[in-house]
Amino acid sequence: MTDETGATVGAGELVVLYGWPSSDILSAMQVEESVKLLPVAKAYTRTDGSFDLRVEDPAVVEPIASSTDQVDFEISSDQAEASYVYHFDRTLSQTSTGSFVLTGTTNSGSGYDTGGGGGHTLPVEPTPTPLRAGTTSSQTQTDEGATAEPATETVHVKLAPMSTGKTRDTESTGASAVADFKNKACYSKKLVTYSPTWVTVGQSFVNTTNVISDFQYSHGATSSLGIAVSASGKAGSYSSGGTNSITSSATIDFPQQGSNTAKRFESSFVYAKFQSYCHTVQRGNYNFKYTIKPIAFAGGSRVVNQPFPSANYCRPHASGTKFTKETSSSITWSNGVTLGSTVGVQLSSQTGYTGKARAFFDFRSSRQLCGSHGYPADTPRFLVAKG
Amino acid sequence: MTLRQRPRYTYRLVFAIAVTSALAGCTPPILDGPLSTGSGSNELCFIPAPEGEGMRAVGEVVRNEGDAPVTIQQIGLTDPNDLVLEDTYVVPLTEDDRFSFGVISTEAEDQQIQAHWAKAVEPKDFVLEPGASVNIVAAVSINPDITEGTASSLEVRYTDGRSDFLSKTTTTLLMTNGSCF
Repeated sequence: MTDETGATVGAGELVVLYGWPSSDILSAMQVEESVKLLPVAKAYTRTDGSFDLRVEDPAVVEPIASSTDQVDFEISSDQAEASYVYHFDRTLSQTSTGSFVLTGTTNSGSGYDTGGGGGHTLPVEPTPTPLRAGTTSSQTQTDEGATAEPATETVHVKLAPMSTGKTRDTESTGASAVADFKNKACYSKKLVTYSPTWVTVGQSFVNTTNVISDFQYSHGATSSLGIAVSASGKAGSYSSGGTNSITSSATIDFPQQGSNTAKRFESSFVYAKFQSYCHTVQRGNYNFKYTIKPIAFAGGSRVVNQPFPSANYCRPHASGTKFTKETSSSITWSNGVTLGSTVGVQLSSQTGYTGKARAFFDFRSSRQLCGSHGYPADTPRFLVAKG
Repeated sequence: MTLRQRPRYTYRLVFAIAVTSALAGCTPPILDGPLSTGSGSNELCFIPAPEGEGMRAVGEVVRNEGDAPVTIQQIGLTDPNDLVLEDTYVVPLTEDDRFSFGVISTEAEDQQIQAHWAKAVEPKDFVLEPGASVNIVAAVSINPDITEGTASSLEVRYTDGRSDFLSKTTTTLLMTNGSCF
């Protein structure tokens, strides 16, 4: 955890891991309704600013898991001069012995930014493991999947203060939250439900003729969408604060793309603005924070132009061949959420090619299929059909 | 091009000997070896090579992620069903040349493909250094009177001198006498 100058904070700062109610609940809430945030772990920073959060009993988050067993988390730390927030999610599952574990929810792999700014990557942990959180020097999440019991999944997050940390709501300053921790409860109130916003979920590049490309985003496909956070809620004060995954409730078969086309495929999702705050009898409401996060899939489809990427990991495919990419490392579009222009910060979107999101290439003539960062059957990131 | 014109029985004889050896009590190969063979789940549907272009061949790229050289022993098909393995090859790759075979013909007219074929060698005893990649290639066929043949992947048997390994690629193969579209 670092302060606004980039220096690590000292020892003794309280960090709390909250569980948010699922998107099922959040999307059903009316404006001005509040829900309680569930504290599931806490820790204090060490002298180097690092900390470890561990969910000792993942079963405690079962009541807030979504219908798809997703649990949304927020790492939060409120200090006199700054607030820190980071959102991510995990999947809750039950082992054969009946114990609960929290695992990654989307495909592993490196994110790819199409337009600058930082995107987050969400990893998958093939072996169900308990959740643990810590810090690194990188503002991305990565896994260190252990193979032996007791296995631990580590989420690395660099926590920097929200951009307006020194202009907090006046109610939020004052005594340290540490002393009130035992008695406080934290809530989140829905302030605004935005109209559905377009989000990039896929793409297609055919830089030649006689190749047909197709992309299917099926029911159950998951996109990891960026979240904006602010200490004041004022326009221009938002910064990127992690991601949450939203699952498609419909199947979209985007239009086939033919010769010399470079397209982004978009569908729409619903975002909402929440005001989070904590409460004690002694202090009333304090520690206000604002979060703009995705809460539902809205559907629809839109196809937009984009430039061709460079792709040099090439393999010839003979006429009559069909290549299908079902699973791969996910791609992050740093500006993949069009709501970003409204909140003043680019929000990322990420979709992996899973069994629920698939890319197809039909070679009507002999052509090459090239990956931008690896061969097509490996981790290509961008797949481009070329002459 | 003599390499690609080896008679079919040569490969089948080698394969029969290998299978016999395996059944004779050799230690099963380790599945989690140092070769990376792709990621995710991919499907490749293709049709036989046109008349005059030899056989259909499919390729994948494998990379030695270990810190010691490995020696390839054999390339094969995993769980083949009416898909016949006719011959196998490896084509060394360099960092400067990222072109590799996907679905091609053994006697394709394309000059870039021909140039790549010119670098092909027999898989057996091919040594893959740490960090190096190689294009593994299998020439395959199906009987003209059946609809399709399948295999769940290409696979590579190799050794680091201490242990024997078996790595499978991540692409399922379907060869059809019909259409893939």
